[in-house]
Amino acid sequence: MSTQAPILAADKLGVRYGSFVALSDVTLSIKPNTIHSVIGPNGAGKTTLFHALTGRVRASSGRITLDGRDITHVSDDKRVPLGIARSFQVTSLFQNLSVRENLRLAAQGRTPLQALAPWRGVDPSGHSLVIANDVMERLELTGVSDRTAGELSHGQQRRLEVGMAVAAKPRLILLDEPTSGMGIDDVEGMKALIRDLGRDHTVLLIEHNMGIVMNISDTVTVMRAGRVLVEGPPAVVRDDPEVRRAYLGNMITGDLA
Amino acid sequence: MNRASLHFVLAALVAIALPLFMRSGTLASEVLIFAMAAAACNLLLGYTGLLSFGQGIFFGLGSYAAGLTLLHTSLPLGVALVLAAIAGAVVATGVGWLSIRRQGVYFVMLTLAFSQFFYFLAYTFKDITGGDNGLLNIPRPAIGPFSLADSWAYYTFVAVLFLIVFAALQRVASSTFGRTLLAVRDNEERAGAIGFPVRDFKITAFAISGAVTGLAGALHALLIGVAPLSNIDYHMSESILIMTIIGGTGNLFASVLGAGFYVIVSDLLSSIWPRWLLLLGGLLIVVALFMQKGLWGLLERLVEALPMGRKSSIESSIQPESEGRGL
Repeated sequence: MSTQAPILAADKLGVRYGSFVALSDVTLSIKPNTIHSVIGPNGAGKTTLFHALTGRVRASSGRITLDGRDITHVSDDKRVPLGIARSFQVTSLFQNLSVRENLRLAAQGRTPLQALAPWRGVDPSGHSLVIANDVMERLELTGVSDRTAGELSHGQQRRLEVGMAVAAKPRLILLDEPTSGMGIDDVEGMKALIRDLGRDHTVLLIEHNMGIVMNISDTVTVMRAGRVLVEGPPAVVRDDPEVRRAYLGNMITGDLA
Repeated sequence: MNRASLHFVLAALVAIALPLFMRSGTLASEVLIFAMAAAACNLLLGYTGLLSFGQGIFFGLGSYAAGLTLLHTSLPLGVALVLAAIAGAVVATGVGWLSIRRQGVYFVMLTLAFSQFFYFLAYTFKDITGGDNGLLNIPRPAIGPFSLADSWAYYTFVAVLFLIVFAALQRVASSTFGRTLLAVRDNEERAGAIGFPVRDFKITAFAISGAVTGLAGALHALLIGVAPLSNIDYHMSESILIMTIIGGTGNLFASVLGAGFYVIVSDLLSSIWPRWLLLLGGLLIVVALFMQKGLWGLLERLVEALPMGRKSSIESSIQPESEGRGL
């Protein structure tokens, strides 16, 4: 396993906003078909790392490779067809469109140029609708398929948020705090879903809920102040003294599976 | 009957009803010409979320393109109209390409600046455009055996083109392209994040809008026999936007309502009171404050209030064109 080539690698990645250094010298290597979590206190640069990896934010230094190919200068929309999709920490859906249409669009995003043809109708038995229906099934959203995304409960919106990434049929899926703001019952469902996604995707996960992180991750990267502090299997990371200090010793409470 | 077909039938009814209720073929033609321009504006405003003050540019250029073709060449009318649509599309692509580099207020300001720029361009090149006087004596040649000299004959020609354009725009609105535009309007960032090159979509929307607006401008020049400077004035952009907003931005037929209302009410008021624009301004304030779905929204409420319960065919319409297809 350890000799396997990474699906995604960041080499000395840095991001600056003006004079503020959000990320510096982050080197990361994501192995295929693993669940890789990124944790750290607020402001550690986790979301900025996601922005850089998905192309939303331009890297100021370093490089990013996908399957060995340099994608540092590939824009965010062009990274989707390469197999990278993400969910957002702050729910970002098409609020006025139906759940099915949200997912259909996300599936269509894999082949966006087909949608640029103004004369082409939406094929009711088409590929992207089939995917949308599958994802609704998997996320238990079929019952609300015709409701607009804005009408859903918070838990449903968070599930749809993850579903948007799943519908792109990515190989690498980046989930930015999928459980944020969720009630305790919904969290268990999300945990099961992420574990399930780990079976057929490579998952990169930002999460504050240590119960989830320690339970389902293969690798955990701890960040602080824009840098990587420690990286390793959950058990090692949990007992690392530096990590305990970063978290003031009181946040890592999750049980190991 | 799904929503798109219903709206097409409504548009056809308007085209048939206008000759029955109006005495002037010129005014009736004007309604449908501006209905095309407003529907094209709606594609940008209602579907893509782009408030463009550039519509007058495309309208005016269409007028000039058709006028110049018919004055200086012996090409048939159809070619002149196609050239006008192409001129509209090409310039709209350029204006769109530059303007969408900025968002929100700055986008609007850029379209406004282009609007001024093209106005003064037309004003300056008097030899080509006729400057202040406009391009005069534009002929209205026959189409094969059909003479368009009579104003109602010309109306028939405009009505046929209007229905073709309306159906084509409906097709665009309900296509995967049109539905992606709705996504861009709703959440541009997410549309990019799920893989859509948002810029290309906006530019294409501009091109289509420009083509239709150019065609409308050409038909207008043929209607009055002149391509006046006012057709490329910023007031033209403003008028087209007002028609679109008064009608409602939810669906394309709303723009037909808006254009009809604007053209007919302007005609009535201007014969009564020279300061009629004041009333129109008041109306716009009412629409902005109390009826953001425009005349279409008002119509919906009226239909719902009817005891027959036609609710199934006309419902609240955020994106009515596409919902009819089992979205």
